[in-house]
Amino acid sequence: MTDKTWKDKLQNKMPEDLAHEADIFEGQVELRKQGKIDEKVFAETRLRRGVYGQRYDNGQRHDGIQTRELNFPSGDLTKGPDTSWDAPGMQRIKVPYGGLTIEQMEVLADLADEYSDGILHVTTRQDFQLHYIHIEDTPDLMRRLASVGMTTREACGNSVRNVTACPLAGVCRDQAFDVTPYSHAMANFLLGHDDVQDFGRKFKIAFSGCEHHACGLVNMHDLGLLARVKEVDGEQKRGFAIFVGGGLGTVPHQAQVLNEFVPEDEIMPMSQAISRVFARLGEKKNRNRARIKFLVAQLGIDEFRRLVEEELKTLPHDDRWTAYIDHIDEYDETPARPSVPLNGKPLPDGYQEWYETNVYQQIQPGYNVVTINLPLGDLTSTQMYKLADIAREYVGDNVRTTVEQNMVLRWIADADLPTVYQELKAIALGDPGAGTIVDITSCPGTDTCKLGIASSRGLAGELRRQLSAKNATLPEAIKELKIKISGCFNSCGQHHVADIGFFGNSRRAGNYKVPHFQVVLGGQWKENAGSYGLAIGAVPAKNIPDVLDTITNRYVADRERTETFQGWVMRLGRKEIKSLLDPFMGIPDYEENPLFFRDWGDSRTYTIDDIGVGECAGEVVSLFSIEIIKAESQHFDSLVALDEGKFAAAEQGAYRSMLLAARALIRTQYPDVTMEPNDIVREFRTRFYDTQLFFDRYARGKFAEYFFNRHENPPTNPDKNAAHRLIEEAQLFIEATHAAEQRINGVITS
Amino acid sequence: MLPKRLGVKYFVDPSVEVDLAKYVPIYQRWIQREWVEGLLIDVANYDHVYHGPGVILIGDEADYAMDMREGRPGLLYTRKRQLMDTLAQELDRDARLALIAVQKLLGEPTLQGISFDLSEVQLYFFDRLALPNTPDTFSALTSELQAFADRVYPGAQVALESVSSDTREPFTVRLKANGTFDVETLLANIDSTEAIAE
Repeated sequence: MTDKTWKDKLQNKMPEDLAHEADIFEGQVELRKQGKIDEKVFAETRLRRGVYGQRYDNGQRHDGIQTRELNFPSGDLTKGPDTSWDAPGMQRIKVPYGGLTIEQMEVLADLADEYSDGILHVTTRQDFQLHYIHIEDTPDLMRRLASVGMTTREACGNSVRNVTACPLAGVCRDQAFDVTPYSHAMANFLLGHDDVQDFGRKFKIAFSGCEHHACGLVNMHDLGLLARVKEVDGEQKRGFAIFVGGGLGTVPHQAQVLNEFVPEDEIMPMSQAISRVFARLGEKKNRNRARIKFLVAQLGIDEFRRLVEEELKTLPHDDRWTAYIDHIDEYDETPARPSVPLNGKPLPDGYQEWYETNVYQQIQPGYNVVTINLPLGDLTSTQMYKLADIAREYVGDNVRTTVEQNMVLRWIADADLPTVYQELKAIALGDPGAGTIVDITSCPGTDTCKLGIASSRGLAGELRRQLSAKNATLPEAIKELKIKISGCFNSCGQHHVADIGFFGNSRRAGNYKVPHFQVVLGGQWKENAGSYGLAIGAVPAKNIPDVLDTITNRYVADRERTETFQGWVMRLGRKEIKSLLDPFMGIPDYEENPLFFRDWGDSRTYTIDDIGVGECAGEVVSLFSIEIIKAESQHFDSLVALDEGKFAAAEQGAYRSMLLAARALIRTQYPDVTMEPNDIVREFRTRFYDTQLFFDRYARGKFAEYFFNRHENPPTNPDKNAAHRLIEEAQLFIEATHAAEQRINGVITS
Repeated sequence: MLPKRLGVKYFVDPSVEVDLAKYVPIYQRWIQREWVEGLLIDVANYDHVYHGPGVILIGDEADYAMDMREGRPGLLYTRKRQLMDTLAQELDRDARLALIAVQKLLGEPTLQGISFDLSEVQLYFFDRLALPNTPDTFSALTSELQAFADRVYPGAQVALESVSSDTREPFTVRLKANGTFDVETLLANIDSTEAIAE
């Protein structure tokens, strides 16, 4: 037993930057509790650490009879507009390219057990999500993740989200080359980068190794990179086709090709230039049109390309653009066990069915990728520990998550497959059907999402149950189809790129609301999400299983020899397919069938009263507000150091808070300012002091002089008084910086 | 030392088959009627997950679940906020609230035939920092746990055992008393002790 904190215990295990991030956030949590950070600014800063709101966090919930107040003990304290402090929230954890180590799996399981409800949820961006988290647990949660090299930074908010990649990268039989080290490098390069802090909306990046499979789905991404090899001067050169402006959401856009081939050593500056153009010209006020797809569509791809090329010329050189290239060849995965053939070993019951759908033969002879078909993307902490044990025995750290809410074990030797199957089966992770019609993708929907309109998980669970029961007798043509479900039009369940997609909406029937799902047919998962489906019509939620049966039966009966589902949908046309749905669109009287007025998995009479304001877009907060909060957090830390008698640290912290405040102001004019103190002071003096822009009517430049004085005359051994004085001066300087920004830019900054 | 979270689980009789689907409307009704103590927020359904948390009535200070972990269904009360000063108080309070929830389930008309084996209770200490799952932790807490057992099952022989030797799992202790017990008796036993008032 110990009285230590996680911070004490993990001090030497956390990378310095991630440890610092957790400390800063802990300080911000404290400042918010004291009312010293505006709620909108705090909301954006927590979102940028993956700390998300959840349904009912506005303190209201319809219990099926009436809307009730949820009187959280924190009273009026909020963690964002209309978001109660004590309300359970969601923590998103980034997993770049889905890559996991055994140690990370075990820590994730610990966290789910101690801070959440014992469930780990894999998302459609290869992240993990934990639900029902209290905000005050998040700093320690971040520290525990940091101790195994994981971060939540920018997992939400208006920044670069998890960088995804094909889970087969490196072992795929069709890839141009392994995109894993590139996606990893890109995730690191852009994490916290100055040029991705001022977006009007989120920004999603994906890497693909090949063109024709679903792979990394580059066509539906803000920025997609598709691996290509090109002959240049007689040599085979690696590079990427660059796609921009794709995205699903309410209005799906297919990405456009920005450049057919960008050499591998130019993709970092290219991504930086694209980010800058997006930050500068992208919509900021209207969040519904703030994704880069709208900017690309508005400007046209040619003009967008010209702007990016112009921007490239202005970028200050960064060694990180190419530093990782030297290590690309060092990136290698080591199998845990030698490749041994199966050699007629007896096969367990169910093995063959599982093998056909869940096993992929790697390009490396004798090795395989096994897909673990997670129901609704969920597994328990205990299952995760057992899975870690299996990984330790058979594959080592070669585990990944997938955008289909599954996990894969890579590098399983042929001879180990039957044993691995049995071990997975023992923990109920050996279900067949990965990637088939029973393996349904679903966003959280009304279970936990503030924007959910209908229960996507409830429907997914019901369809999975019904389809699994008859899976053995389903025709092959049906088994191959994909179902994806979103709880609303925002497409987190990626319904546009499924053969059969559904998204939640509602309809009125008399005095009642009825949960519905819009049926979207004919989307294409392959060809990197090559095309989007057609919306056919909205059907009451309770009739969706019948609709599914009708559509799939008709497809099997109608299809021509090699006709795909997409081809069949196009051939029949929207009108004809709509006629298949018509018999299921009616709504009975409430008195006749009250169960019809409940959503899947919910016993309450349906209502849309619980829909809240989403946080997907984050708060639109100025760059200055995001930057100045760093200064305020640093200032708070210096106060803590003073209280602890660490006077030198307190004095240094106060000085650093002044630097950060000055930098926040400078960045409103000059985004490229470095972190070097001399550069910051020079730029601040030139831009705001010499011009008197910083001056107010009474104090004139006095508070800036505190800053200059400390910079030019650092104390050698500051005592308590010196530290205290500088902390006071820093406070005044930060306040003056706020005031100056408001005067100069004439806007409210929060 | 108080764990960050503490769980108390009473097991359903092994002969009873648990249909998790029935617990969603039950817990929704509990929210409507404020049927159990604490701020009740929502119902989370994990019936698709093997040996998982089952169906959870999510609360602010605590959750109530028909929990399926280890393949043994039972009512699990998990206290998430520290409200008491000592472990003894916490154990008594949490066991009491768990038993009240058991009592409510026994009275549910849609759960005809449900019964619990109340001679056994499992305690989960969700705190890997302060109370890791080690023999040392077991030794350090044995006397307090024995005292708790004596309060809940006065006069009965109670065996204490650590449930798992896997150090990754939360420290979990099973208390098994000889004899048969009903809710009312156990509640009366807890109420007659001093720990809460201390």
